Amino acid sequence: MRRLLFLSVLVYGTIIAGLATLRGSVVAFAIPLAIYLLAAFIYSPEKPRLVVTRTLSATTVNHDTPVVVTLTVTNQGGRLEEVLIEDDVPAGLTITDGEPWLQTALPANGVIECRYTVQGKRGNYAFRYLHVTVNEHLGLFQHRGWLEVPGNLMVFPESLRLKHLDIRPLRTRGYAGPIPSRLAGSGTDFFGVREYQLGDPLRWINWRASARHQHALFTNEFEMERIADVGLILDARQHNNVFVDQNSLFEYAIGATAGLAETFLDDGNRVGMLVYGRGLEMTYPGYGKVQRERIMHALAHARTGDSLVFESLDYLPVRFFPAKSQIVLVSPLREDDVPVLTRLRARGYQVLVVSPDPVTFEAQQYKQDTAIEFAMRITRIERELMLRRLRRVGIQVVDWKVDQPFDKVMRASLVRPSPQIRIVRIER
Amino acid sequence: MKLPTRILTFSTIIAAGTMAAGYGFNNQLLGALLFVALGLLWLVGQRYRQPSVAALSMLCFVVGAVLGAWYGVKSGWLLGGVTAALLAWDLSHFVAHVQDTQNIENARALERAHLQRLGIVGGLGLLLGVLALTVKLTLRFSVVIVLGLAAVFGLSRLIHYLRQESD
Repeated sequence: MRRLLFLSVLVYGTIIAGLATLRGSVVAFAIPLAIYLLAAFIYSPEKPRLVVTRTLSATTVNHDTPVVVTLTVTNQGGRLEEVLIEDDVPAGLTITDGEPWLQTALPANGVIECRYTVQGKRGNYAFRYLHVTVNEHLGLFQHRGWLEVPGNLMVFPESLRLKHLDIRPLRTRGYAGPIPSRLAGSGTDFFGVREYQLGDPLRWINWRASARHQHALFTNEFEMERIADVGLILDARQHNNVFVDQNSLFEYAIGATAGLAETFLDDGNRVGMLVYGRGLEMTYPGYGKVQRERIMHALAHARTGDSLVFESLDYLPVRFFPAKSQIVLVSPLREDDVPVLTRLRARGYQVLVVSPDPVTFEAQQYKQDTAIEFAMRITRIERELMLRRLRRVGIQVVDWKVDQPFDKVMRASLVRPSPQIRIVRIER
Repeated sequence: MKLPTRILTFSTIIAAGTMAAGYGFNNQLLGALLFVALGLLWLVGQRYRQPSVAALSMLCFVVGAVLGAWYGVKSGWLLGGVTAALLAWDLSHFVAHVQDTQNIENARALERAHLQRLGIVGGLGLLLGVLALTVKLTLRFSVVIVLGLAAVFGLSRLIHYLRQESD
């Protein structure tokens, strides 16, 4: 447009100068410019009639997986001398291959394809508009516009995979699974001995116990293994989150929650999830791959937020989790969370707290000096005391320094004897 | 992308050269030197991809042509200079646009089509300009005024229409 105006002013100016000076030669200088303007006008493009389709190689992908975006443009109007299509790539996606724009000539009924590859961090990315600019070869006249070509890409969070996790909730469900149910029945682990009953397999008879009694036979009992209800709680309270440069502790918590959800679901358990922060974002309990997909969707959307109501864990909707089930809280933890977790434990829930360590995470950004070291030491002691208080009431606590592999930390923390026992021994 | 760039450099040199030659043959060395300097400045602007230099240079060439006609420089040189400057102005925009866009399908065909059209426009403009300079018509002053007004009015209507179309 600026070029058109510039050239028009030149043509005008030259003609007026020629008329003012009464010199025909000056007017003649305007002729090449006027011819240029006229040629551009004659070939000025008509309003484009384009049909565009957008195809994504995948609509749901894992973290940092490349996705190929293909735009197919069909020209249903007349010939377009130059057409420039520019895709509006959602913020947060990185282009790893190709370009999201293409310039070409497009004959009537012609079809062109523009391909590029993107990848991104977890989240939901909505593609919407495609900008189209059509002009003639000289570039003076153009039609600009946009077409709505929607598309959606869901990027699941990076899942910190675990091999297996031993949990022992007080109550299990009725279907066979990997979790010891504290009930006698068919299983592999020895549970106890009872008097022989008609129909018991002979190989279950405990001959050693039976030999001690003259008129009785005893049968071994085994512990039934069942699946359980697992409730995951992801702490998304803004004031619990810590940022260091571009990294957020919340992202680690998301990865851990995703890994835990996958592990529990792979074991056949019924898993539900609650994101606690801005509000209550619930994923109702379910099984299998569909539930995995639901949880990953919820995690992809999860954001930290502040809410006066949900500032503390007091309003945790406990009824969302079946009675005496396993609850796993992923949170950096705060001092005032301890009473709430103690109450949960008292209600019969088996509570596991996975706590990404905010102190070590935040310490990365500070230079080492005496005052900082001293402050860190005090904060670490406070945190350790808080975690001990949780352990004392029978809550399993995993203190996860996020620079260490999650799987390794989980295995080490859950296999070791409870620190509570060790403390008791020291005290004695 | 080599051909348009070469033609761009060539057009700039031709534009500056013809204008300088016109002024030089008219014994106006200062004017000639100014156009040589302007040509060099334009070439530097092309090297460092400064689009504003192209517009400024184009304006200077047209103003220089009008002034040249006033000072009695031969119109043929000036017309050649203006036409070459027009080609250089167009190509500097085209080259910058192509370099910015990067992802162009069949770029050679696009370049060829652009150069073809520009060649036709430049050739036709130069031809009609030369015709206008050579054909002499004697008109009365009142006719000139009427024709001038008609031209200005017509052009203003045309530009108004073009701007509307372009929006």
